[in-house]
Amino acid sequence: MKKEILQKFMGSCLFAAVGFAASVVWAADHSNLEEDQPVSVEDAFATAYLNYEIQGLVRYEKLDTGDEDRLMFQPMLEYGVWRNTEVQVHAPFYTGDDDKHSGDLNLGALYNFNQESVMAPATALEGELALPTGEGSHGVDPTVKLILTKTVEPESFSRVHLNAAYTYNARPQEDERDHLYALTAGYSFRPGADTIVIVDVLREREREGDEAISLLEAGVRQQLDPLTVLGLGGGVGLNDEAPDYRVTLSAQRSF
Amino acid sequence: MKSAHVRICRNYVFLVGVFVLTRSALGWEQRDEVSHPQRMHNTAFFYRHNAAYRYASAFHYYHAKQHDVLQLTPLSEHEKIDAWFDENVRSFTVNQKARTEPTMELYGPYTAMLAWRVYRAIDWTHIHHEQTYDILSDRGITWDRKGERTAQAVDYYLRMNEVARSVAPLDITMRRAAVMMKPYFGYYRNYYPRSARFAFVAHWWHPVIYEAMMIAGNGDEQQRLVKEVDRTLLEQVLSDPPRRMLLSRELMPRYARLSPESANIFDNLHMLHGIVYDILAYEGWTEDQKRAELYRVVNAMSYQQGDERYARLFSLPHPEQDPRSYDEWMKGYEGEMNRIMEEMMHEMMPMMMPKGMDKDMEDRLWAQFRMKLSPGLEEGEIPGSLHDALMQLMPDMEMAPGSAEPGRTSAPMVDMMLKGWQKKYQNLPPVEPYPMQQEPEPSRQVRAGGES
Repeated sequence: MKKEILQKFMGSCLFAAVGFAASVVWAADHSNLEEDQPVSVEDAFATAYLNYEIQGLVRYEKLDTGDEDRLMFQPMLEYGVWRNTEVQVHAPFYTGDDDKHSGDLNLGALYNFNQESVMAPATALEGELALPTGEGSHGVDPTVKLILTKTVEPESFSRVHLNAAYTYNARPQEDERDHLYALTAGYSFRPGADTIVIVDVLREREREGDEAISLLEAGVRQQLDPLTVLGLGGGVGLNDEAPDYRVTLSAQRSF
Repeated sequence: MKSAHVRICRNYVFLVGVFVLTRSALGWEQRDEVSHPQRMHNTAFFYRHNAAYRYASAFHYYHAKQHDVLQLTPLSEHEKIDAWFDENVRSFTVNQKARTEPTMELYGPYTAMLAWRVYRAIDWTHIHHEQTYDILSDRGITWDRKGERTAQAVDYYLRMNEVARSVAPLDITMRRAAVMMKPYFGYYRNYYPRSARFAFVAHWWHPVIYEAMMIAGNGDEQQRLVKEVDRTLLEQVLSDPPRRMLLSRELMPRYARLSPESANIFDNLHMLHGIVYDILAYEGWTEDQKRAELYRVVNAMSYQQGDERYARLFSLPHPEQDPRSYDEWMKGYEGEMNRIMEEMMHEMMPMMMPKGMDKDMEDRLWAQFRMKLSPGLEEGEIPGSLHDALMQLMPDMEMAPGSAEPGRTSAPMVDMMLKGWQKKYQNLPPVEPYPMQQEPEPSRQVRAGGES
């Protein structure tokens, strides 16, 4: 009962924040890639110091198990707390055939170590804690992610991105693994002044079962005004364990 | 389980330490980006004057792309590249291809990897540009509060980021930068004249937009006057671009009186663009040497404590200038920018030619000087930089240590020029503040046809 109340409270707070942001002005930057905005890969750059940003996404997934599907809503708040450092809070909410971990509150921080040079990639480390505030969740699960970004072709602003994440499942349930990983390789480029296109491949070891999923994704990030970015992305499963497909609509605005 | 969490935290901290040490050992930069201030006026310019906003975006596209074009293409092909680039940026501008303002990295990513601090300075100042346009565009900010809000924007700009441009007039910052005897000085203007003149178009447009708003007030007249300035851009200025960089004090005398700090910041940014392009176009230095020189100039022209006391020390040669009018005096060599350059040359000469020179040599020197400060290579002009030309005319010219090397400054030379400025201008009366108590009526602000 307590958990349900907490979930509703968190959801209300995050969506209220989205609503508030919608009523004021927003400086999102379409070239600064964020996880799930609208595809998995992210770049190694933090949001600017003192920038407040609100993000949200809606994702439809056709799961691999028969006719099952689910819809995910995820509000997120991001803040440039120091130079080269951002903190984030987000929570996924699921409806449909699989709502496990719906309402888990995630607290994260990303630190960018360096601007890329002609030879060296930009590097960032991200840490995240998933709190067991959601459906069927147990234990506080920490994640550590290494992120690399390198420009490979200046003319079209083509960049490659590598994300390697490790998650420790603190209280694994029956059939759950305690060590999880996700590897993402992505490529982005600029077809026009206000548009960034991203393609990535994700390989992720799931919590349950023995297999890992592989997913191919593509998405576009469109700058609408100086402070607003919209994203649209899709992904198809590359193996039996992966979702058949998924479609994501994302939005972000700065205050 | 607890021990596992501790182990993960320990490993995380260890990884962070390794990266920090690696970064320090290799001298890598960080991005250190800072957000615009969160204000209700943000995006007012975008929504109220969207066509004008798109021209501003196109000019920033030009600025961004120009960096990589100069750095990544050979000087030997300058004519072809200059023609292609000029056509490219004109098309981009006229067709308003950017909906939002690009950051420098978006169209100049190679230079972002080479010399990030240059982009920090430029992007940060572009944010200030946008803030000040927003303030004038926002109807919710009453006319009598525009000055106060602009002063707050200047304060945020100076306080939050160490790459802020100086609020001192260009007369002072150019003397601090001491670039005239560097082996790159003039390369961009001389070898890429069409592109350089496009910059002069951009640096005409930005100030006159402020000035259009200054004579229009907060009401609907503002849209009409901004559109008239855009028409002047398309119908007159693009087809016959200026041949020198025009300064804020020439083009936006009213706004320069309202916020001399902001006006000087923009002149200092616009001049920085030109110097950066000179350095990138020059092929005599390695990338490391170019970076050292770029950062020296960025630092020399940045805000220094106490610069405020110089902010109003400039003259207003055209105090009633009509921003919609593209007058003859805007097009040629004669003007504030080249006056500053000529003064600096006079101030340096006793150090470089202590024995003096005869009249004939002096005439030849000034003839070369004027050609070097004009776009393109003219008949009789010695190729290369101003330094190359002077050395060919006067092989025994004495160069102060640091005056030509990358990343170095000749302190005695800077000192001599600053003393020269003080001697000439220390008694200059500061420009008067601009009265903002009453909203303007455009018909009373300018005389028909522009200048009085």
